[in-house]
Amino acid sequence: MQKGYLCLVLHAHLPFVRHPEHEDFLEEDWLYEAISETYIPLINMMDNLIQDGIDFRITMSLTPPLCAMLSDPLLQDRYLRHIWKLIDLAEKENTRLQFQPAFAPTAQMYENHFKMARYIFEEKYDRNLLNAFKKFQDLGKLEIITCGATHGYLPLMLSQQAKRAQIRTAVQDYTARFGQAPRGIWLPECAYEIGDDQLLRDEKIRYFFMETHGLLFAEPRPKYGVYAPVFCPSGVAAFSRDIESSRQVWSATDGYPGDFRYREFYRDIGYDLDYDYIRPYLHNDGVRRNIGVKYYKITGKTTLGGKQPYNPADAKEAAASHAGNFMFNRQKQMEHLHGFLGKDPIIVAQYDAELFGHWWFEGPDFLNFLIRKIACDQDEIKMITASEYLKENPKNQVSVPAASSWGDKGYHECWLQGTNDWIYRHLHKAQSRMIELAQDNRNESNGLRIRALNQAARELLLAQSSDWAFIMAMGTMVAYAEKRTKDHINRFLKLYDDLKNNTIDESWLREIEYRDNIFPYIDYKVYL
Amino acid sequence: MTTSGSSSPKGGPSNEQGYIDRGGPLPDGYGDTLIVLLPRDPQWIFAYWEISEKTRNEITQKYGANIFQKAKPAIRVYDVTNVNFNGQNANRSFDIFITPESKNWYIYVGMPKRSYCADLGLLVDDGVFITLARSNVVATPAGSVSDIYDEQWMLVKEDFEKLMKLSGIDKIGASSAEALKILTQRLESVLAVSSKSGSGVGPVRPEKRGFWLIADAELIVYGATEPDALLTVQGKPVKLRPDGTFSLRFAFPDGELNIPIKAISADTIDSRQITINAKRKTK
Repeated sequence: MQKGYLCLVLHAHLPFVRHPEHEDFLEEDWLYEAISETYIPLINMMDNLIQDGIDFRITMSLTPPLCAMLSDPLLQDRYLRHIWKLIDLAEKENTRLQFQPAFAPTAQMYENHFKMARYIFEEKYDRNLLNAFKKFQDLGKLEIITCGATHGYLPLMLSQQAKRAQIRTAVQDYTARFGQAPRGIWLPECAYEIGDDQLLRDEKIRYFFMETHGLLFAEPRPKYGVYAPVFCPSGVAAFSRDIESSRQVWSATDGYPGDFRYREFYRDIGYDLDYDYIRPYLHNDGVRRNIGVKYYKITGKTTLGGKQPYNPADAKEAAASHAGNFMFNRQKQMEHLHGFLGKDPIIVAQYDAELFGHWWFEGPDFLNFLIRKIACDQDEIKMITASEYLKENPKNQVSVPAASSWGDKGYHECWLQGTNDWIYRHLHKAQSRMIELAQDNRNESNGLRIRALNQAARELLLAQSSDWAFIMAMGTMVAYAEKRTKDHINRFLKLYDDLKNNTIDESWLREIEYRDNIFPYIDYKVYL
Repeated sequence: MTTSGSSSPKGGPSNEQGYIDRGGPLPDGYGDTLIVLLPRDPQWIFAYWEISEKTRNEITQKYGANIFQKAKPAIRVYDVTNVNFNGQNANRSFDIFITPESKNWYIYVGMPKRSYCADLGLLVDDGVFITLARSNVVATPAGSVSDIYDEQWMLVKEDFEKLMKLSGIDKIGASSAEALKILTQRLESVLAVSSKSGSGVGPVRPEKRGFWLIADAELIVYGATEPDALLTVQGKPVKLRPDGTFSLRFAFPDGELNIPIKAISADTIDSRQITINAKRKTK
């Protein structure tokens, strides 16, 4: 008998990193790694589930920058170049390790995996993985939701027009890509400020996801805690995260990904192998970095040197038993909540998509086992999307959620602290100048000026990505995040001056249009 | 990405080369006189400000050349919760003295779910506050469970507390950054434990310093045949380079390797075989 709903939400996002001006660019690896390690394994899983007739529901946010990169011909070419290199390396490795029974199965696994990734990417989905996600959505198994246009952190923008531009641009982008309007949104960093729901309502978005305390601290008190959504006064539904199901996956101490049988992230052949041998697979600068081929398991509390060989079969078994444990815990939790609430609770399990596969290598196996077990082994948990839940449960309590985010400490500090607070005076100035430009040029008909106005909007949006502030706070790759912030602001400021003085430099404009080519159809009047 | 974070924290320095206009410095100011507030959490707000040359000149003309030396720069913070603020009707206010060269400040307000506004100004000895700019209004987040019950939906209090606990209220603060943190911590703990020398697929330098030596061996088998020939090594086909050469690399643990290499001509008429036998013994 059904006891409750499980709403699985994966947030897939990467900042817009695309550098046509460089033949080889380190940070573009974020995309290539995520494609090989996360997106393709998830796509493969969903294809197999469908083929096997297993019913499932997954909600995924695919952010506009990620969509732009996945459908960009230059990055598609570069991904293929990247995966062919890995295939070449994996073949060599497979030969090299064939007499070492402890490593041979893992070497074989990589060769198979990279070849499968290449096939799915190039042949099955014609280089554009959005084709896969769209297919799953059209089949009713996956609900794709949108996000801020560039993952801008809404509560620190202050200006309503700036927030509206983030949301409206995202909705337009989604509609063009997926042939329908988005029903839901993942607020960037789950950051919510009272009243932001009205902006969602204006764009006809029906629901959003937030952090646990955003709902628990809502006013009036939410009768069902986080186990049912509330309607904001605007009529937009707010769903929020169940902490228990998050912790089992995230937690440092008792989270699944720390199991000793799983693959060790930090022991990578980019560091381990003979330099001359590995050199062709490193970036042009020749610095040793992770390549994505790793032969050891977490093993336990030991040095990197003391790690034991990874065993793919053992790891798969661990993923299966963790999936069973996760399902068992949700069953117990739902049974308990069901009795307590007197209705079916909805458990919202929200994760960064890149956790599955990139950080937790066996994560996609875990999801695969979990979904199959839920479909075949029990009838208490029903997987559901937020849209379906609202259709089945149209009546919900009205309440105003509390300002919150899913960042460290639960509010805005991660994006507003000593390392990154200097950006806001510039972002705010650019916002107000953009609004001024839109107002002063609302009837513009000169083609060159319209191009400059649209590019100004793109530069502002790109500067607003919350990723830059986040990277500054985390302390790795900081130089790149600072540079991106400054570059986009400076490009914006130049465009503003050029528009004001009517001194637009067409060849310079063409160059930055070519580089920052996100949102080809943007209309600067979104800032009116 | 949270995530979001991707790529390795161990990933080394960012690619600093090239990238045409190199992210030049941003302006020190925009010629504005303003103060802006941002909410940080239930207890803290953040303020940044700018005082333009024009404003400085106006103030010195009005109050004397040394007014900026004589008066203390300050931020007057107003609690304007449920008030349509007109400068006089705040619920309460307090002053923060700021250093003349500072451009921003974190302000402890200590009160969740309240609205704040601030004036940037100069406090003169006689208690006069010269306002240079007034900020926007920001609200601090609630930070706790609401006291307000919806009559229709009310639950008894014990039940709600139990529900809060079930919801994991005692664990709030877990974050998207947590995964990255966990991995970084694990790396640190890994590096903190003292090490033995590496083994298996590649040497790992001992993290503890001191005199040391690591040595290992791999085997490279190479050769050449007609570019269109079919080559197998240990029965498995090997792709030849365009000039007919090939090179294979093998891990070479202690023991014996037997590697038969066979080439068959494109027309399958001719064939040649070479077998390489290698022994390794490490002492």
